Amino acid sequence: MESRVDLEFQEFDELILKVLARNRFGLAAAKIRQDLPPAYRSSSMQLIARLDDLLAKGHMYAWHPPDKPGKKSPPPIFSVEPLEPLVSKGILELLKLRALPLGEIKKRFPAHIAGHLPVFLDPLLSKRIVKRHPPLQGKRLLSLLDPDPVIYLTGELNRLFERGTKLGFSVEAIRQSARKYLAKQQPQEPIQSPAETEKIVFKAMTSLKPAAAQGALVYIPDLRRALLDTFPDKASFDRAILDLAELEKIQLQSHSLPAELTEAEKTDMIDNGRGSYFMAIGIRME
Amino acid sequence: MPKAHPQTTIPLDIPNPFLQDRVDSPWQECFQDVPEINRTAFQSIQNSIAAVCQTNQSRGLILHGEPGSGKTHLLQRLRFFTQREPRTWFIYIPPFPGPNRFWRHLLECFFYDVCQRSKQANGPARPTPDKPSAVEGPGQGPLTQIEEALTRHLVERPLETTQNLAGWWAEICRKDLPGEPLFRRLKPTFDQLTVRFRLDPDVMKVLRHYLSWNHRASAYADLLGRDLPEEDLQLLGVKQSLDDEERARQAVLTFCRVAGTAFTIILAFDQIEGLQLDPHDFDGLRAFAKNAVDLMSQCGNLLILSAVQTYFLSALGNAMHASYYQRIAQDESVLEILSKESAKKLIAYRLDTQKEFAGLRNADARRGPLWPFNVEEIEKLIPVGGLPARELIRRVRHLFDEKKSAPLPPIKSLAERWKEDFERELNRPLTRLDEGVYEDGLLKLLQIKPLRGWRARRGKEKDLHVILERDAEKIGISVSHSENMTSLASQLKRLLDLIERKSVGKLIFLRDARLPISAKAKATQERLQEIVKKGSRVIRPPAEAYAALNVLRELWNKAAENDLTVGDSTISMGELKKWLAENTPRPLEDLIEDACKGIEEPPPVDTGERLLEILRGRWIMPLSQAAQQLAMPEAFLSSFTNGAQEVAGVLDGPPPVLFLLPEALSRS
Repeated sequence: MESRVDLEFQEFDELILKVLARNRFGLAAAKIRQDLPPAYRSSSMQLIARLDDLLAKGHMYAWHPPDKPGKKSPPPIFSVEPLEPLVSKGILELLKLRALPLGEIKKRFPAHIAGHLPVFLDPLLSKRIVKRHPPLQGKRLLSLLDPDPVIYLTGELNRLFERGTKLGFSVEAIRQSARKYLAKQQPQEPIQSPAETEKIVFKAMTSLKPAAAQGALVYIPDLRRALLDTFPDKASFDRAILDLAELEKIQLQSHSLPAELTEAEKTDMIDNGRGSYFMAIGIRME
Repeated sequence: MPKAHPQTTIPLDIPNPFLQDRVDSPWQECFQDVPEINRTAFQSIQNSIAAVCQTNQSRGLILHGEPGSGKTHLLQRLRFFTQREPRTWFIYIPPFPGPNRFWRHLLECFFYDVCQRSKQANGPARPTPDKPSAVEGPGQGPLTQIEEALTRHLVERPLETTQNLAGWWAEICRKDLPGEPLFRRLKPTFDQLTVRFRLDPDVMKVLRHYLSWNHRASAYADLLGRDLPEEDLQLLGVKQSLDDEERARQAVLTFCRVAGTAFTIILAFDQIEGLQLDPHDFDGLRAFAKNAVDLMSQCGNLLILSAVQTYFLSALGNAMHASYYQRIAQDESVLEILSKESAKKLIAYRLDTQKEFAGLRNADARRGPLWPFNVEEIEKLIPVGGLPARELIRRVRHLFDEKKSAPLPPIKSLAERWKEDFERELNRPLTRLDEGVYEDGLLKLLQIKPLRGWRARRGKEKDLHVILERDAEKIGISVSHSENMTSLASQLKRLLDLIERKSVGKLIFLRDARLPISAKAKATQERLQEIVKKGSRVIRPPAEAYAALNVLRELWNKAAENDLTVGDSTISMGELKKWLAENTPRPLEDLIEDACKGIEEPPPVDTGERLLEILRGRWIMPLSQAAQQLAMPEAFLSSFTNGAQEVAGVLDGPPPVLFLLPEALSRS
């Protein structure tokens, strides 16, 4: 039979977990205490003891922020889900929508996380899942995509076209010539064998959309994001997909109204070389 | 020594087997099909049909692909498939003309496809207005889809073959003659079905009239959704026509339920993109979603198939509530664009269909299935990622002509396409003058030729189909094709009330000139006169206006789907709008001019003098330029010059041109 003390602990533990469940990104012990009903605001020592017990039983997790030189150690943050993957996922969700400066990302998290955001961000940056873009108009954006050099080199490119047209070349001729020149600059060595690429790409497609195994289409920007680890830059991803298309392992569907696409959307898709962009990919069934 | 290619010159009189590059409707009889191509996409549809039948639950399926990848072709394959599947109905639904006309449009398509079309390929063709049959009547010719379903109920043999059912139906019709006897013979079964399947008794009664050839013309008009005169309603023994959304919905539900649970009804909604007037207009898409989901929850035997382009899927998903989208896109069927292998199959098939050509090829054993082409030539046509079938056919058409050394065909223009379509439309026998054609057509026309200073939008109030707004001014356009004078009089009364209550400042009342207004209909005549007295306008557009608006809508819907082709070119929506703005066909120009008279203020007193001033020394000037200089809409200026021909005249375009009348100079 459970003792009265056990019952009280159980009730207390449930309340702690309820408080944490309301705060996805966890809380420090002092904040948990504040959120408990007044009758349960026991001494800090008692609360720490209960938190330790819950931790030991695996009912929750603790994250210890790194020490800052010359400052008191910050208190651990308790949460019902492991904090690192949760915050990383939150960052990626935000960046999925658009590139953001660090300050903007911080605003989307509670203060006790925002203060330590670089700690969560560093592994993503070092694995190149998140990319730090060069400064543009005084802002350094973070993004899941590589920075588009065109945005930084607009002036130079405009000058190229200006100079070219002054020399009597048509804009189209300059564009085509530049395309040919750039094609020659592309690395020739494939990273994986075609069979490996096929396996990786198909696996990513079916995990994004199980029906892809039966020919359903997957949106190329989604696939690009899902394969960021394997193909960290636009060129390697585009090349892998076009190689599979060349082997007729996949079909690529072009956007019907390319004029309606934004520059960012075009970058996320693949230039089809015929005035539009491949927007969706499907495993060939026939 | 390299092996010489077999001779590739083709005699000039051999027709090009690649001329046909599109299917306009799944009901098109000419069917050229390579079943291996898009087999998977077709299998997905068949799986959905089987799932509806097994679970007795309706399903939604999205069929999507690139433009020209064969959506309508696959629907045609599906239609032919239903011929072999006796327990299926196939209904094809092009875009409906407005969000408030979903059910009436669906009823018309439903009635036409179910009651007038036969699924049987063999046997004598069903009489059509162009080819009337020598022997007409029930039990003659192949069974229509509804006759087949009802004969199953009549003979209580749910699994009988179509052929045997045709025999049974002929037998029933022999025993009880068409007209009153057959009408009476069918009563017990129809009454029983009405109760068993919760059907609308009035709709069932009219359907019985139609099938037993008893007052068939009136029944036909009613089931198409026309607003019938009182005497026709009396003849049919019903109180109201099916010309209203709720009654049309009941009629559609009756059709769906009468088929029974063992049937699967395929409702193929094509060109969904055409439901948008512009990218910000979601009314049509939302109405489609709401009503399609309603239909699915009311009946358990439907496969709602929506054919769209892949790029449009996200817009479709964003336009409607997620739960609606999940139901509509419950299943998916994806069209593949051609690989090198499938391209070769398609070309070999097309070459085979031409008898003269096959003979020529078989005369030389060295000529393979792709002759006069070789494998490399065809493979070169397929870019990385694949190629839509239509694009391949176009490219091969040219290649074929080159081999024949045939002279290049003249380039077809949009003007020619318009002319052809307009002639066809004008000569097409009409079953119903759809008010929606005016509503939807005018909204589209007003996007192309906006009236300066006025914004046009779809009317949300009852009886007001289009609204023109400027600052605090509001003008309503109302269309009525009611053939029932009592309904028409009621509508006119409601419109007069709207003016009285100042809901609108003025009204433009539109009614097709082909629909008479009886001189005996006193109330209607009086109210029309009252409308005119109140400064509003009554317009009776001629048949040409209706035909032109219909062509405009058709081309618009195709362009929205990126499917408008003229010769070898695909015409974008922007190009179509630009062409129509610059070369507005005369009937549409007249319609706009007529409408303008309903809203225009009297032209400034000095218009004549100002016009004389700008034409002096120039003699001729494009109408658009003159209108710009005088700061008035083109239509106003055109109607001014037509009305008072003392300064200038107008030469029809394109583009319309003003010319100075010499006598105006001498007068001045």
